[in-house]
Amino acid sequence: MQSSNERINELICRTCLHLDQENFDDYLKLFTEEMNYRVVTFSPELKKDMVWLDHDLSEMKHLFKMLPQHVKMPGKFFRQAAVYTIEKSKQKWNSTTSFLLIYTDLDGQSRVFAAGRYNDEIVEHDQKLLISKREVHLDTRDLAPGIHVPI
Amino acid sequence: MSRTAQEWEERPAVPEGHFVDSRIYTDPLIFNEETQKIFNKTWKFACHVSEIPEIGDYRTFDHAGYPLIAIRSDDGEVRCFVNSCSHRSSVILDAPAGTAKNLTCPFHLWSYDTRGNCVHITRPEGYEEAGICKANRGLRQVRAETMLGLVFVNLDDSAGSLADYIGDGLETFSEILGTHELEVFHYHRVVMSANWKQWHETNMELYHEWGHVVNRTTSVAVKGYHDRMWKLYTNGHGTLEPLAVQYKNYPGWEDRAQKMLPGLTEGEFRVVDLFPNTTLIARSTALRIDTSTPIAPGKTLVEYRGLGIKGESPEDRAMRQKHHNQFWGPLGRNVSEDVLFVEKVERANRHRAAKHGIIARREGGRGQDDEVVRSFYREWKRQMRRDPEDITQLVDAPSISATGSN
Repeated sequence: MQSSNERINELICRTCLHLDQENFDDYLKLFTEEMNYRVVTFSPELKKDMVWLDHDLSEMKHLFKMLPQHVKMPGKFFRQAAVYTIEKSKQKWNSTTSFLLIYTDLDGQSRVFAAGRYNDEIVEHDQKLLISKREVHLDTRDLAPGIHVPI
Repeated sequence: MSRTAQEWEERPAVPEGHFVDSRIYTDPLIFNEETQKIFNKTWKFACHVSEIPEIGDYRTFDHAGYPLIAIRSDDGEVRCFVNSCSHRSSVILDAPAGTAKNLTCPFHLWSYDTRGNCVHITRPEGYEEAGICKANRGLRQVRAETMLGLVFVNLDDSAGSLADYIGDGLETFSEILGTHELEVFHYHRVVMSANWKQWHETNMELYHEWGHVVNRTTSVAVKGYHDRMWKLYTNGHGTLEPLAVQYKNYPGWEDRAQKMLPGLTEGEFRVVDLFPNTTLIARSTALRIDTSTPIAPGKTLVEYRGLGIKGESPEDRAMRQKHHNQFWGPLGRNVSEDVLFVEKVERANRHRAAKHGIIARREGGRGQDDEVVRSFYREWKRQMRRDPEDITQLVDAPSISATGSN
């Protein structure tokens, strides 16, 4: 029997695996129907927080549906994640996960594309743990050339 | 039919001014010459006034190889200085933005006020014999002027005014920029493997919109898209007549029918390209300003700003932010594709596999006509006194012309 912390760890790792494999349908199954996905970062130029993506489930589905028609970075993305903290509050858990997003180009050269943290809110639904909110807090602010898939 | 090496290198059989020599993107000598003849002499967009609203607020940035500071001085004026101490030249401010009563060099603690006056020299008595004193050690001031909230700088003390340089170039944005107080809510930057002119070309020529699925569905397919006329101004600026973009044509997106920026109607798209390297684009509810900083022939920094109305409600800001990000955010559906496009071009230009860039579309000055690009290169030729079709050819300065040969 897995502890809740082990289950949360596995849940977060599965989000990375599904995105790495571009298995978007299974990725979205790890979220609640009311999910919210945000990418945020702090701008030292503006001295304020910025929101770079703010999507609900419907918007995420549209995003994935349209991906094949876009001109994207060729190659692969790989997420290296380490869950740092898990805290329970009433019926929810909040976790902080450090991640590196690594890009490998068509010639096989890899580089760190982005660094940051996943701040997740996790709930239990029908005996399954699901993410109800994910905030991707980026330290990296130059995502050249830009990325079409969630981080 | 494919072409032989000789045929590939031949001058394209197009009218004069309808192609460029690919060396304009790759030759280090051309790059250095552009720095001297263009960037050291023309007005360059630096920031928006909302980035330095209070006395002592500053932004640092690089322009033409110079580290610069734009600062709100104690008299409320926006001034610009070279970010270099008058003593041993150290950069004074490292942070991209901040607030300072005085600008103090960390090296030997010389200090300057917000008007560039030197106000402190550590142990000044040691300089008395050599004649160094606060009065003759002020910062190097750079010209700074503001128009519609946009701060421009010019390294050339003898250059004409910003108003003369822009002319009517911002007329289609005056209501957008000048009705309400705006503020920058989005900033990101990309260092791309491409020449700065390639980026500006992509902002000018709309033929490449075929490459973006969002543009194909929301714009190119819309009635009237190909009927809009370009308007060219002196000094290489250009703008296009508006279009009512159909955002809901892209799956999952909504109309932009509410909370439009001043002067804009539902879905309205406007663009103005300012020579040499700044572009403003309005998409009904969202406004983007981008400007580039050439780093090397094949390396360019592009800064992107998104603006909203200062003091608007959190709900309105969230909507504007969403609309901005849909096209232009780093996770958006449009701008990253432009970067990929220009990097692909640079890859072929880098070692001159490609010899020429074709800018020969003629559609009567409408939509996807390349005339705005040709106008850009007429201005480039005038300032560089060099033929963009053959960079080995020096030319007499052509007269200023907005409309050219279209």
